[in-house]
Formats: sequence, C-alpha cells, structure tokens
Amino acid sequence: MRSVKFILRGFIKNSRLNLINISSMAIGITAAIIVLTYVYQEFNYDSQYKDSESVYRVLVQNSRNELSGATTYGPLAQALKADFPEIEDATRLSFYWGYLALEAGENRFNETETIFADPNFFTLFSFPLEKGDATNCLSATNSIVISESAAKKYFVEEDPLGKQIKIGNHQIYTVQGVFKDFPKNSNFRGDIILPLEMISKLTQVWIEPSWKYPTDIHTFILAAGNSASENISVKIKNFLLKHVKENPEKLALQSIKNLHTERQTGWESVPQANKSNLYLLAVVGLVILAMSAANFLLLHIGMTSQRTINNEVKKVCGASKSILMREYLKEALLYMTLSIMVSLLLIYLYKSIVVTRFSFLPEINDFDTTLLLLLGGLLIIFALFSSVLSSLLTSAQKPSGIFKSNPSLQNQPRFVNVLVIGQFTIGVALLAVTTLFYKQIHFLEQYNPGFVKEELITVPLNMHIGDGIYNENMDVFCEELKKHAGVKNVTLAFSSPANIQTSADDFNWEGKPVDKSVTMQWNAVFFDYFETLGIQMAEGRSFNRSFPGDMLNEGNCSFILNEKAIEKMELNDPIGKSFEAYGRKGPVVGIVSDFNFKSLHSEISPMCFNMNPFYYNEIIVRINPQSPGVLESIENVWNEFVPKYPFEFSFVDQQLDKLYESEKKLTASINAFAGIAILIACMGLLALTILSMQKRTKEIGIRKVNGAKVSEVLLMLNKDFIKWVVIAFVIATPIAYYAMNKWLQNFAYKTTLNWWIFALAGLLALAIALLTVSWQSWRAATRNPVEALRYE
Amino acid sequence: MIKLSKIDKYYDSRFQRTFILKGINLEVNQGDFLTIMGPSGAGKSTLLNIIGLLDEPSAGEYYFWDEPAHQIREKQKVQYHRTHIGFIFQAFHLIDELNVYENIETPLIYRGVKGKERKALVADFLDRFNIVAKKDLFPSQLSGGQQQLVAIARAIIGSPKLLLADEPTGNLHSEQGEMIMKLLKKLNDEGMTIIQVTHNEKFAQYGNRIIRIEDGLVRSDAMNIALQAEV
Repeated sequence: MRSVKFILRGFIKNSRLNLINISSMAIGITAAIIVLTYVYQEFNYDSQYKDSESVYRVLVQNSRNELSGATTYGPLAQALKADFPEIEDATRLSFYWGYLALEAGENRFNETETIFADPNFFTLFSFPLEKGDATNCLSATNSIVISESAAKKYFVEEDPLGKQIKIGNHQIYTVQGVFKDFPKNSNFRGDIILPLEMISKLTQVWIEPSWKYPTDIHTFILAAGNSASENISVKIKNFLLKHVKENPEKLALQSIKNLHTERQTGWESVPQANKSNLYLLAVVGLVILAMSAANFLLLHIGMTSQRTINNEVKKVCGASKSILMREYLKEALLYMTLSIMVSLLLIYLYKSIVVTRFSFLPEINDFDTTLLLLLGGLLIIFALFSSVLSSLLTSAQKPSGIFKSNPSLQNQPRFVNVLVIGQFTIGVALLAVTTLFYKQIHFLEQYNPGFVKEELITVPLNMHIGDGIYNENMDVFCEELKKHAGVKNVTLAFSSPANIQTSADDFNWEGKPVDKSVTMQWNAVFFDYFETLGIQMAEGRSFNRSFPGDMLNEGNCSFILNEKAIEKMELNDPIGKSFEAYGRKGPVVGIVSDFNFKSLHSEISPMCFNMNPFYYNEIIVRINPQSPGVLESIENVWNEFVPKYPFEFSFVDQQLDKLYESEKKLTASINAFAGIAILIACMGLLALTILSMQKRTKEIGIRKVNGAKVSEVLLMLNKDFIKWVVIAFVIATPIAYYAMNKWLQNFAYKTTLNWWIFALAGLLALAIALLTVSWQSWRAATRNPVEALRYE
Repeated sequence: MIKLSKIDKYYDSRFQRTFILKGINLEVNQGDFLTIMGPSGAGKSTLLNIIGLLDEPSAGEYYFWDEPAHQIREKQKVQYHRTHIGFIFQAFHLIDELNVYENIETPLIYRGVKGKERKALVADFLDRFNIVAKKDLFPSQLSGGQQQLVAIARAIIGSPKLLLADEPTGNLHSEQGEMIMKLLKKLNDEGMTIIQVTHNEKFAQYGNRIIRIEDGLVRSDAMNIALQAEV
C-alpha cells in the first residue's frame, strides 16, 4: 500500500508524461487485442460448436494429386457412413446463390443465399435451433428452416413455427424450425435452409443420385468420438475406386475450421480470407504492441533518469539492488495494470460503438475461452517483459554523482534512439504500404474491364424455368423493355459480367490434338449479349435471331469463343470449326474480344459462350444512366409481366467495386491501425521531447544568453529528431518495397510502384515528427533564459 | 576503525591516466570528528565515496571496521549501509515524493523494522529535531535548513556508527549552517564518529582533526606547497 501511494504521488507529479505513457500503452494494447482477436477468429471459423473438432469436409484430388474441388458424388455421404465405423455421421448440402422469391403473406423477398441440406444438417453441425427440433425439422419434403432474422423479416412478431412460406409461383413450405443466425465467423451464410431433394424442384441444379458423375454438393463427415482424422483420411483416400469406374478421384479431408483460410477450392459459401493479409494484420497488431512497449520503456527510463539520484539516496539508506528493482517493478506493473484497465474499457467501446459506425474496421465477436487464455497470457507476458526490462534498466542507471551539489541531468541512454528509430521505421513503412494499397484499389476501380460497366444493370431472374418470363416470353419481355427511352439493349445470361463463376473444363473441338488440353469456362447467354455489354467481335458474327441454329436445340447450338481461348487452343481459322462442350455440339460462329469477367486478381482466361436458356439467372439491361425514370419504367414492365415476383436491380460497376471489398476493408483497417501506430510513435516522440527539453533548459538558456536566435535554437533542438526520421526512412524503404511487391503479386493487374510513394511516406513522417517535436521545442526555445538560469 | 593505506583512484582515458586520489593514508578512530578541507576538484568527495563504500579505490587497501573493504561483497555493503553508515549531503537529497515523516522512515523500512517500533522511533526523532509540526510537508515546502535537519534525522535514525557529511552547510545561509554544525557537534559528543567535508574555515573548526587535500594528495598544512608545484 505504501509503495502504491508513493507511485501515485510520482504519477501526479509528472502527470503529463504519465498520461501520455498510459494512454499510448492503452491504445497499443487495445489495437493489438482487436487485431489479434480478428485474426484469431478468421482462423477459427465454426469452431465454437460442440463437435467442431470432429467435422470435416470431403475434398477431391485429381490424378495429379492436386485438390480439384469439393463437389462430390450424390451417394458418397451415405456410403462413407455405412462403410466406416470411424465416421459417425455424414451429411450433404448444396449452396445455392441464385435467386429464390419467397413470400409469406404481404412480405416478399428475394433470397440469394440458400442452403439445401440433408435432414441431419442440424445434428451433425450442432448449429443451435431457437425453435423446432434439430433431428427432424428438415425430414419432411415441404419443410423449411429459417434464421431468426428471416423469421423477423417474414413474420415480424408472430411465432413462425408451422407458418407457411410460398416459394416461386406455387410451392408451399412449412416452417419447422428457427435457427440462430450464423455468426460472422461462420462458413455458412444465409437465412433459408431447405431439404436437399427440393433443389431440383426449385432451381436448375440437378443432384445426380448415382455414381455417374459428381454434382454440386458438399459432403461433410463427423468423425466418431476419438478417431483421428489422419486415420480416416488414409482409409477413405481410395474409396471411390469401389464405386466410380472412369478416372476415380482420390478423397481428402479438410477440417471445418480451416475452410475459411486453407485451400482455395472454389464454390465456397463465404469468401475466403487471404492468409497473407491476415498474417500482415497480425504483424501490424504485434508491431503496435511492440511500439507501445517501446514507448513505455522510453518514457519510463527517460523519467527515472531524471531521478537516478533517488536510487543512490535509497542505496545509502540501505536499499539493496533487489529492493530497488522490486520498487521499480511494482511501479511499472502498476502503470501496466492501469493501461490494461483503460484498454479493456476501450475494447468495450470499440465493440459496442465504434465498429458499428465504421464498417471498414475489423469486426470482432465475443471472445471464447481459448482466445481469452491466449490474450491473457500474451498480456501477462507483455506486461512482465516490459516491466522487468524497464526496472532492470532503470535500476542499473548510473547516478550522476550523489555528492555533487546540483546533479546535472543525464543524457538519454543510447538505445532510446534505437527505439525511436525503430518506431519511425515502422511508421514510414506503414505509410508507404497504405499509400500503395490506395493506389492499387484506385487502379482496380478505374480499370476498364472491356465492357460498358457504367451503363449496365442486372435484374435477377428470380423464377424457376418455365415460370413467369423464364420461357418463350423472354424475347417478348426484352422487346417490351427496349421500347422504353433510356433502355439501350437487353439480354440474359448466367451471371453478371462483373464476376462469372462457372465451372471450367477441357472441351473438344474439331482437329484438337490428342495431347492438347485447354481449361475453359462456359457462359450461357442470350441474343444481343455482346451488343448489350458493348464488346466488339474480333472475328465472325455475334448470336443473331436470323440464325435459328444459334439457340440450343436438342444438343445443338452455335458457339462463340473469346480471343484467349483461340490463343490457347492454337486454332487457325476457327470460324466454322465444330466445338463441343458438355455434350452440346455446334460450329464456332464468332470470336469475341477479350474482356475481364472476374476480379483483376486473375488474368483473362478462355471462355466459350452458347445460348443455353437452362442457365439464365440475370437479365442484363444497358441503360442510359442520364435518362430520367429509366429504372421506374423497367420496374413497370416487370410488374406488367410478373407482378408476383419481387423486382430488384443492381449496377454492374457497383458489383465490380464489391469484388475488391476485402482489399478495401483490409486497406482501411491497416490504414486505421497504421494511424494508431504513428500516433503511438508520436506520443513517444512527444514525451521524449518533453524530457529532452527539461534536460536542456539550462543549455538553451546559456545559448540564448550568448546570442543564439530562436530559429537557431529551434534548429539545434530539432536536428536530432530529423536525423532519426532520415535513418528510419532509409531502413524502412527496402522493407516496404519488399512487402509491397509481395502484396501486388496477388493481382494480375497492378499499379506501378512509383518512387513518390516512398518520398511521400518519408515526407509525411518527417512532417509529423517535426510538428510533434516543434510543439515542445518552440516553447523551450522562446522561453526567457533568465528563468532557466535563475537557480544556478 | 577506518584505515586507508596508499589509496589511489584514477580514470584511464585513451592516452593518459588521471589521478583523483594518490597515495592517501588515513586512519580514523572511534569518536573522531574529522574535517576534510580542500579546493574544488581536490578529491574530497571521491574520498568520502570510498570511505562510504559507494565507490572502490583503484589501488591500495581500505579497512572498514578492520575488514578489508575490497573483499566486502555487495550484500555486506548493503548491510553496512543499513547499520554502520549515515550520509548527509550538500543538496540534502530528500526524496521528493515522500513527506518528512516518510523520508525519515525510509532507512527503517529497508532495515525491516516493524511498524510499531518504526512509528515510535520516527516520532521520537521528529520530537528531538523539533519538526513534529512539519511531518506531513514535502521537501519542496521546507527551507534549506529544515531539509538538512530532516536529512540528518534520516541519516542517524538507524543509529549508525559513522556519519559522513558532504558540505552539509554548503547550500545554507550562515545562521542555518551554524545550527546544523551545532547539531553535528552534539552528535559527536554523544559518541558518533563524523567525517565532514567543508569549504568553510569556521565550520571546519568544529572538527577535532583537520585534513587538507589538494590534487588528490593529503598534505599537512603549509608543508607540502612545494610538492604541489611539482605536480
């Protein structure tokens, strides 16, 4: 108690510096905890459930042992469960990203994230149900399970159990359960869960029930009690040999926790996290923590070096080294405890207020036990490390001579300079990196994908084939739309051109060499597709109504390929050659100029287009954005044709921007945390300046008495700090350059790494440092020298 | 009780060795009141440092309570500081964050004296030095003489056998200086061995022995002036 009292007295005596110290510490701890929690939670998707440790997804490996995806055979789950006692249960599910129009009374919405699942979905994953029975809520074919938020959306206050939901035109489903919304760090998204067998009734997706070919379903297994996953992996590796005759693939397992961060297998339910970005964030978090520790040391040593005489006095009073050490340790630990308490408050504020206001900041969920233990351990180690180090250093400081009448203040220990340089190195590097991030994102958004992105909107074709306008009325509907001023053209397609995610395969063509293999994506389009998108034909013609053979009919249709495909196929004179994809055959009638149909992370890849109406999901309308009322008139036409279906639209350029959302979020959060890092560095610098000015008051006074001008004194005082920033800049540049190059490798299309990025970062850091330092040095330099020299 | 023989203290820089003390021989007996005099930079404080076990000689032998000081371990030194030696300084060196009471109490805490006994002892000293009314004040609220009074109380509360005083009156005006010197004299009369360093001829006379040091050498009065010229 006695020592706490004395420490608090010391705190109040130097309250300005101590407040800087504690707040920089608290900010550092807060930022580090937030970032590390976020990273931890990204690496631990779906780990909070009862059986999370034992749930695995089945992956498929091709003959070259490369993971080829997660689409498996229909009967696989059943067969695995029957053949292996180590597999307690197995389930299948399919994510459907197309549109389903749901209706409950007055409430009608498009659902875009639907899960079709086997009846044991809830028991295997142990997702908590708010209402209903986990074992049989999906067993009836007309059952539907909805999330809490969907229940609010469709039924507001009423109890949804037993209520009916109409999907599409005429299918009625009964709500059998309400599940707790999937948390943010879940691989599962969506509010609607339907029985798997209904997928072919509601969508174009067909689940092949035999071993003939794999379909779009994911198979998950639950390992029995204590079976090691390696054992099961080995056993099931060649399981398909038993059932599949042609090129049986190998099976592999992936823990559900790793779905989010490991193995890009395509067809993910939730956009995967880029591991290197997560590592980068974690590094930033730890760097911030290290910087605040550095500040703590800087300040603590700086402040105690002002009273090394106390050490000596205490020694002559009979304090041993270990007693002194213990006193300093107590002091440091008390400061640390205060900082941690402040940071806990800050984290609470962040979680409850800040993050809801600024969506770009990383969201953190509730802490689980492991995380709490990890963070607690980290904090304790961190607190002990900084306190022990600072008390070791302070208690070892050489006194300035106890018998001197007025002990002069000492210079900072040399490694204080190293700490400041380190902090500014980090600051400059972070500034440079974030500048580049912004530049790259700006570049991506400005990039011309090769089609008229500003003029396109997409309207979801949210009906099952045969219903509404998804039939022979298609053309009538398109023609009706075109009559309106402002509508330039209309077409239909598998998906928006912003991001076309179709399967890729090795197709056949006339004269294909035996050893040739070209992986190519496909796209189902309608008449006027290229005209609507504003893409030029490089050769041949576009799909045209005057050629009836263009439209798919009994397995025959025309094909159009992009330039990239022709280049890869090494095909001379492609027009008129016969082409075959998934059993559909026909001549190549045209070659279309290349355009970017995926995010600019990847290069343009080969693609073939045909007119297969079975796969239309979007109506693409090219409008004149300046034309007033064009969107209303489109909606009116829609309501004329299909008033029962909800109308929605979205702009393609916004969809494009969305592709880079993860980069934007990353950039924004790294920027925010870089700002915090720089703030902490500045606080350290500020405190150091205050200390240094206190020490140099006499020197300044003497210089002024001898005729130094304020500007000269200022220059003298700032010189050291400028030197540090320059050294920091020199160290930071190559580090930042390396990191930037690494990051840019994520993109197929990259902005240039200009020298001015580094210059800007350096100048900015210099300006920040100068401002911080000058604030104090100006005060010191303009002071009346008489004050400083009075007591001599 | 204290014996120094041929004590050297020097610092080596790159090209030369600078002597602070050179061949100091000195013996101090129980009950002495020794005054060390000399100009600034003569090595008085260094000598005091060595006697007080705060610094080690570069060469020579030093016996502290008949024990060879160069063999005393760090732990033993701490013990000696707790029980044998008290210090007072020209700049008082009270701890700013502690009030009068707490400053006086500090050595007792390091000696592990129990709370009750401590209280009684500090109260006794406050009374003896007539500063009961000031016990809650902080050093910055006291005059120089009062601060030195507190410092002396702190130095002797552990009843040391030896009191080292480095220009105890240097920062005080003459009236306060007189008071401090009288106090020291009284302590010496009660049996405490005192070694003081001073510039003040008048206060030097309080000692029953006076040593003059110049340029690291002990010289007995005018006798060694010629030697000084040689150096």
